[in-house]
Amino acid sequence: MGDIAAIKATNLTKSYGRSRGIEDVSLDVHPGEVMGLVGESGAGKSTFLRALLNFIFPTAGSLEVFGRSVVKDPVEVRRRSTYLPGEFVVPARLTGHQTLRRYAFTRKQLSQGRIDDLADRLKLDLSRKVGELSKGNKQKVALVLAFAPKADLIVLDEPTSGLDPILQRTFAGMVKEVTAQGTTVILSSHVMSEVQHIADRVALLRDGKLAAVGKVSELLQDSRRRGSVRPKRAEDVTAVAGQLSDIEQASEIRVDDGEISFACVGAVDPIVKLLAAFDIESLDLAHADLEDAFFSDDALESGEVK
Amino acid sequence: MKLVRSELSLQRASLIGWSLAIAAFVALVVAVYPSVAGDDSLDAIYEGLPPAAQQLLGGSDATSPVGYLNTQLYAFLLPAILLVFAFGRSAGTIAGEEEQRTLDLLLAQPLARWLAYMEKALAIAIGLFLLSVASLIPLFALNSSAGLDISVANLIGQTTQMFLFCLALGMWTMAVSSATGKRGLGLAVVIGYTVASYLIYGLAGTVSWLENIVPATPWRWYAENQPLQNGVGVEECLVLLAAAAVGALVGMWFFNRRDLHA
Repeated sequence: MGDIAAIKATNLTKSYGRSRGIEDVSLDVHPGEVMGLVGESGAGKSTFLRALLNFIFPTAGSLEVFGRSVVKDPVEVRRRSTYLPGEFVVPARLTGHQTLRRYAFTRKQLSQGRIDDLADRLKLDLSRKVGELSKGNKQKVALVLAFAPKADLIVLDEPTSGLDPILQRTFAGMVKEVTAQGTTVILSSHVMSEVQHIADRVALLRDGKLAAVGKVSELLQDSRRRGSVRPKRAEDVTAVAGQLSDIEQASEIRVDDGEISFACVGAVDPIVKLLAAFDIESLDLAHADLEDAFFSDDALESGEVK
Repeated sequence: MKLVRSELSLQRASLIGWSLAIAAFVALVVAVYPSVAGDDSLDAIYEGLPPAAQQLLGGSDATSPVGYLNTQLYAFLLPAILLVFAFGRSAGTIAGEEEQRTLDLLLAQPLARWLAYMEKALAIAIGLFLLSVASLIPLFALNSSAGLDISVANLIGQTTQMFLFCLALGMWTMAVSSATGKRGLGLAVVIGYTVASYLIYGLAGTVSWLENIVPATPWRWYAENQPLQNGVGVEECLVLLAAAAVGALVGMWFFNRRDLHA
């Protein structure tokens, strides 16, 4: 396989009549990588994932999976991929086993041992009718469907919705296991925290456009964190606020009742050095959070995250 | 052919139910025949009807074996029952699954869309075929004991034309529904066409200008050659088969290149 990208989207655009869809998305996913697709609902995550399986046809641009055009060679692409839909619906009267038979009958390398192992780890009873299962248990059936066949690419649309924290950890283990064997995983979520521990890289989608893509740690470095500082002496407040506003890492400085709040982007070091000259009563600096980075409008629009 | 098998195994219970119900209905109609055979009052009712109604109901003779089966089974009731099955299955098979949001998962498999379409169409054809056979069994079994004594070849010919008639309308229902992803649209268009053409076919004898459009009605190709009396019509079968094939190809062509609804 060498350096062929698992997924290569080039200027991919899908426009619908209304505003939904994706616009000019270019994204490479490497073999064996876990790519997280994050964005609010309607940002285009499902559109991108559904285009991968050729459920929808691109309006412009190209989309390749392991070097094969998704439009020209959809069967080969789907032969190497499995899929977990954003909303898992199967006929309610089918049992878990029947569901697997119905929705994986073309999968050649589907072993019963693998199915039983997955069901066991997820604590799922496949002999029960899907219609009788809770939302979380239905999602487990969907996970078995996506993970049981041997696949080079696993496409997961909101895989962790409906899973409790313990199962999310089981899920993360399953992802780690398949990627260790070289499988590529692309998964979407509207909640960054669900993705940021699993994904090697994340791609942030916003209104159908790719807002940022990179390693979680890199994006965190560029992301903003909220801070506040309270000098011991009231007369220092103005001086600290003034000096903070002079350095580029601090912004949105506000003074309220002897406490100075600010936003920090990038390195903290200059801020800490500046404060060292004063007597400080308290200093709070929030954890760098991608969620914060992602949902702060001006950070994205000014390109600071990108 | 794996999808055909999967489709049929999903429908097994329903197909058995439909087959038994149809066989029971036909058996009942046939079993009643001996008590109708000599009853002129039934003929009198049919003879009193206007010609258009007679045409729609299968003629004016309701007491001869052929007339009885035409009026009581083949002119309307039995094909109508089969059509209910054909319409429901054909509209439900792709568009229905799409509306229930189960189609994505099915087509996430390494299966070409056009092939999935054709396998689903074939599954519907097999289902219709089974129901057609189920309708024949009581006729074969009771043919002589009920005093019908109709030639087996003609019974098969009549059933063949009925099967192809329902198949053609089913394939066009599937085509419109699958091409658009709208289950209701296929049903509305094809049921509307079927009912309208039924009326045209019935009225054509009375309203002369309608005669020109009779060849566009499926009913003409199903019933006009009276297969129960005259044996199977090869031309009729070919027209119906061609209509079914064209419907399947048109639907497949559109389905193969459109976006699936999320």
